[in-house]
Amino acid sequence: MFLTRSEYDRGVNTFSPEGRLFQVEYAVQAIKLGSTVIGIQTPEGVVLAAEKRLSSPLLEPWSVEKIVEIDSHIGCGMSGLTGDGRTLVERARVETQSHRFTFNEPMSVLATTQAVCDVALSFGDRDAEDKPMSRPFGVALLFAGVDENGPVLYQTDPSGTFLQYKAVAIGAASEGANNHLEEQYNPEMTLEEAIRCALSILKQVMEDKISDINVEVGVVPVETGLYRIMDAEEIQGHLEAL
Amino acid sequence: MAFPMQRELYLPTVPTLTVSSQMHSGLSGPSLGSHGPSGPMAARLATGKQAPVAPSRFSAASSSSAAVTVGSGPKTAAFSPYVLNGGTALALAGKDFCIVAGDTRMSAGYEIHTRNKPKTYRINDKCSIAMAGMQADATNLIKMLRFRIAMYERKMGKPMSTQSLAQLVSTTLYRRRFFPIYAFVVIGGLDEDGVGSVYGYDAVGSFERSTCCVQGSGTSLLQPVLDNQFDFKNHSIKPDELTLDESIDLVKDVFVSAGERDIYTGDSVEMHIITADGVRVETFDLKRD
Amino acid sequence: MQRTQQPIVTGTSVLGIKFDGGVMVAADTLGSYGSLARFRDLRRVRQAGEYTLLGGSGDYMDFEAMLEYVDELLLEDTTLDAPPSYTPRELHQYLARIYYNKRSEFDPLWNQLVVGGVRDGDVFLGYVDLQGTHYEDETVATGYGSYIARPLLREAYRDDLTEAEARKVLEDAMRVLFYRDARTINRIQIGVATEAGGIDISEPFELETDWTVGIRKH
Repeated sequence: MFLTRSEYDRGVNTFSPEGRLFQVEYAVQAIKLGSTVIGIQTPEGVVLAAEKRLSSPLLEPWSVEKIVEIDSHIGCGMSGLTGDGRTLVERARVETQSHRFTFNEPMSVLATTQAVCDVALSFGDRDAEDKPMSRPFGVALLFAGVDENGPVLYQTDPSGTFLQYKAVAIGAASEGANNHLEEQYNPEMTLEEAIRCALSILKQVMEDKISDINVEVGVVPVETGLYRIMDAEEIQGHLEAL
Repeated sequence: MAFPMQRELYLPTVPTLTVSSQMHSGLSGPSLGSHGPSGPMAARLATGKQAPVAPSRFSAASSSSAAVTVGSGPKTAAFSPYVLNGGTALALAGKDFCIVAGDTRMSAGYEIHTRNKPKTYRINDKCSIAMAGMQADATNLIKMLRFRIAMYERKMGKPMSTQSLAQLVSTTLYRRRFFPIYAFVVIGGLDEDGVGSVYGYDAVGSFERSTCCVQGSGTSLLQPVLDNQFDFKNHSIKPDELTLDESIDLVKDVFVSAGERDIYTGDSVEMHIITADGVRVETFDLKRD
Repeated sequence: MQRTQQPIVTGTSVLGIKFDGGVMVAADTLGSYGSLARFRDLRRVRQAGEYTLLGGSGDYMDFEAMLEYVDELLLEDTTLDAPPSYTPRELHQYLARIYYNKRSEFDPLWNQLVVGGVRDGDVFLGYVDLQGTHYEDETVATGYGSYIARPLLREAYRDDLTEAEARKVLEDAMRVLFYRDARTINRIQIGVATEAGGIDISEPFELETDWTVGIRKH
């Protein structure tokens, strides 16, 4: 297996005889090195919670950013190569603004996710102007937002596939976290319960001790329809309640 | 218009030229209102040169002698990419309905091209567009819009709302700010709350929402009448809002009146009546003179 | 690139009328150079594909250029050995797009075209001009014909007009144009398109004229 693989994993656009694109699969592996991000959708809204790896006490915690705003109604959590994530986030921001410009309405979370996935496989020829990347994007994203279909959560991966989830985790501890989610998720959760659920799972799977500076929490409540990132004080409140 | 202009080629006498430039030059004919790229502006856009002065009906001698140098070989008016095909389009919005209507006459100068070219286009169950101005530009615009709308529907998985269409039309027109699409658009439909809404545009995409808007050659005749009789502007005591049937009758009345006074409006009217049940199309005849 | 900013060798009016089961298009064979009657045998009623008549007024070279565009389109059918696929209605729309796109590039094809034909029972007659204006109607006329002949055609038109009646209407209208339009000659062609007979374009022929009205009696 590994012998045949070595011949077909150099060219980013070369299929193996079994029909696999190894570079894309390796990119999926890259996400498993990333920090853990959890997303949970409830009837009251969607929550994203991310682990921040603070490798040194001298590191300024604010400069590690795993959850970002796409548009006023959409947040995005990323895991993997955050640098690649910035490119896709930028794309999503441009798409949502351009949609507002042209159609005078917010873009749906589905269409935003689709627009980002459209560029996921546009790698290859370095010379081609419409190919922004020479390799696959080594990042997975969680898009959480509220649109006219209500609260929704999508996950993307480097192959350009996207799936809708009620709750999902990506990153290093995704396997364990997903198991916890399957046990703990219930469709009638309140937003508050979802936040606590996400934090308690992070607490279990994180290597460092969880604190108000090494996690990020973003929420999009149905009530306001607006994305909001929590400050340390609010996170502390939730952590104390665990 | 192509051919008759060519007729001016070797005619040295000023009065003859005058007659034909008046008769055949689409943009220097009787003014169809003050909006959009009118004579001189359109001519400048067309040629990239200084705008020739559009010959008015009574300034024949001076303008035609400016246009032709006798004895210096073939001369004719430069190509203009614009023609005005006339016609009137309007939309009215009530509490729970909207009417979009346009006559079906298509003219150029004093010639009636055809008596049966509707100016109204159904977009979906909630809205229709009507356009006056230049037929070729208007047709092209509606083709571009239908393309964008189809792409939107597939991407967003829902029909385009009237307010989104309104924004799309504006950006589409504005993209061509420096070679304007010579079409005067009015959109009529129901908004997200099911309330009638009307959007009116100029040729470069400026727009506003209103309850009643007239576009095209009948604008100056009909807009003030509808302001008074539909919106009850300047009434100190406001009567009840018009019902759908009363509004339909009003549309018929104003089109008949426009047909009496405006040579570019006539033949028949196609009317889209938009309610929660969808779009119903009705037509009625006007005078064909 | 040299662009047509004015027509050079021009053809005058083209007339078209529908009749029961077909369409008929007429034009004279004069190519004028300004007021000079320069070419006396320019064929301005042409066939495009199996089903379509094309009549053109305005610049004759642009008319020929247009025919090349159409031939290019139709050549695909030939090379693929496919049955001719473009209906008159489709060709009319295609020409409208060409003429509109050319005008948008400020490089117009300086013509007014009459497009007519029958396919699968659909009797079509339409108009396209240098600005991209296009429409279909029961009668069509270009140039001075749109002022002088079109009212005659409109008045004469019925949906049950026979081919012979339509021919008489067109000949009468062409005769009036010959009397009044100074850029005509008395040498015309009439093209007929019917479902059964396909396209039939006549050789040029002369119309009988009567100038007695202009003779002073005393």
